[in-house]
Amino acid sequence: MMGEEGFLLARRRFLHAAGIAGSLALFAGRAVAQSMPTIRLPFSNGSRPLSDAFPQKGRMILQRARPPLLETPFDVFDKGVFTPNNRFYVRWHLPDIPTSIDPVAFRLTVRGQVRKPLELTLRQLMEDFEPVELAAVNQCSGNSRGFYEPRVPGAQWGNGAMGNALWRGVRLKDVLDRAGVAPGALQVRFDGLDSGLLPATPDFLKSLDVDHARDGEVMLAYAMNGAPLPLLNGFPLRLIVPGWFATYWVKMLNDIEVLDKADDNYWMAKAYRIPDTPGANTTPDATGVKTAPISRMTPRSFITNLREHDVVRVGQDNPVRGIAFGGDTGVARVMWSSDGGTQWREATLEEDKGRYGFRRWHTAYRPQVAGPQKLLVKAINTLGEEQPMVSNWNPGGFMRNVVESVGITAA
Amino acid sequence: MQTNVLLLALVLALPIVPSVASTAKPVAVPGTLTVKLPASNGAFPVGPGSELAGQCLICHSASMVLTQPAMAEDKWVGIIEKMRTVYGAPVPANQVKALAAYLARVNAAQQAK
Repeated sequence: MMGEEGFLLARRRFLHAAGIAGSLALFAGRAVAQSMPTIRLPFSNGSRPLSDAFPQKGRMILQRARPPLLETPFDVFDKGVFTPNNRFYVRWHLPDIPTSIDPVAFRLTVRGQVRKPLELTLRQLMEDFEPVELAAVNQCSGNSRGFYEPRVPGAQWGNGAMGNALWRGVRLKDVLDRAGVAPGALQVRFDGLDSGLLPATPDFLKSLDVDHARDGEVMLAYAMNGAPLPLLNGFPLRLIVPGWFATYWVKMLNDIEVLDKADDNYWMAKAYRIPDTPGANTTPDATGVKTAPISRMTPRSFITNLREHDVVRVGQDNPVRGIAFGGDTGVARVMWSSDGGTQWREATLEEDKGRYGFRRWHTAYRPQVAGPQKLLVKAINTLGEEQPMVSNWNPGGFMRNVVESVGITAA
Repeated sequence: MQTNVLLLALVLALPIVPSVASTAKPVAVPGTLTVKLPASNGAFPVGPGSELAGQCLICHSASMVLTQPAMAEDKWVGIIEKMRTVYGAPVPANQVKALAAYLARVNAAQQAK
């Protein structure tokens, strides 16, 4: 049936890598999938199974089993400022992911334009460098892609391809200084242990400018929320790029290469490009738009305790709360509106856990009349940047940060 | 004096460094972590062209295809070509159109779900 020799070869490798004994397993799981509970994301073709089957993970929205794309159910964001490790979203590009890692045998290499190449054990990273901690939001470039109109291809995420964690590790700067960055270094490239199964598949590599890599904030994290990283979030070591989209946060990081030229690999030069326009905004029929690699995040905010169609009480104070983040800087203000955005009122910001993390906020809403209502929320960051009332659009479905709303009924 | 005030003002104006030297208890080097990833269970609906779509499963689950928004056949041709040229998907050139027709049909049926 699938007579292609190359395919069979590749498939043997895949079956081997995935640990599947017989090819029938590929097609045998329909009944299992159908018995799973499902959730409906609010766009067409939005039905998704909820899965408890992934290691070190609780219940997650199953976008794709292989390589895993697991979305955090949105109610998790109402429970606290940090996203628990077992509910933190998961996003892999390539199908060959190691499923057993010995941190004693693990090595991080630092090479390229350096005076002294390094090969570091996890113990050396933990003991020979100053440990640092930082709260930061990790958000997929394509978070909320399913909401774009017109729709765009790619992982059809709702709003749950993001999370906030307290990362612990060492400064990338300290590690680079140990190796001694040589004159002429331009970028620093990061590689993890994952790879493709077909020989042609480009390895997943991401790069930062050398000054960014040495800013003292970019981290190599070996722990998240006080525990080792779950395997699917990058065990044993992950790059943390505070304020930047998660595509740069290379998981299972085991190789750092200092380059003397701009990285032209596929994942920098062709993928994860955004229109080089304000808000990464363009139109479906635009041609010849100049592009740039996606980089910093922009502010977002969400109501977490009210969902579409919830009922609130007329003439009474109803608690409204949620989360916000500023992008690559802190949250200055969170504003909310119950009249479609004519008047905005200020919400109360809760404790600041660090400018790159989620900031919880709350307010009280007292509807005066019964009937359908809409609550809007927007964040303004410390640079004065605020969420737009109209969404951006681009063919990659990247960087969505439109003002969010929840439709409720007062009764 | 004035210089000192200026210096003080500068220091106060500096942003708080968000990554701080950790005071938390040191964490130990963790032991070997071994996990089992669940099998990818979804299948492509059987029909003309579904055997070609089986090639997609080399690298990813069927759900990657089945969860996509409505896309016409020419869009699917573009996606298949990207899979062939960038990722090395072993779809022969003379079968691209047949696969695109299958994917467009399955994708259209999926939209009501």
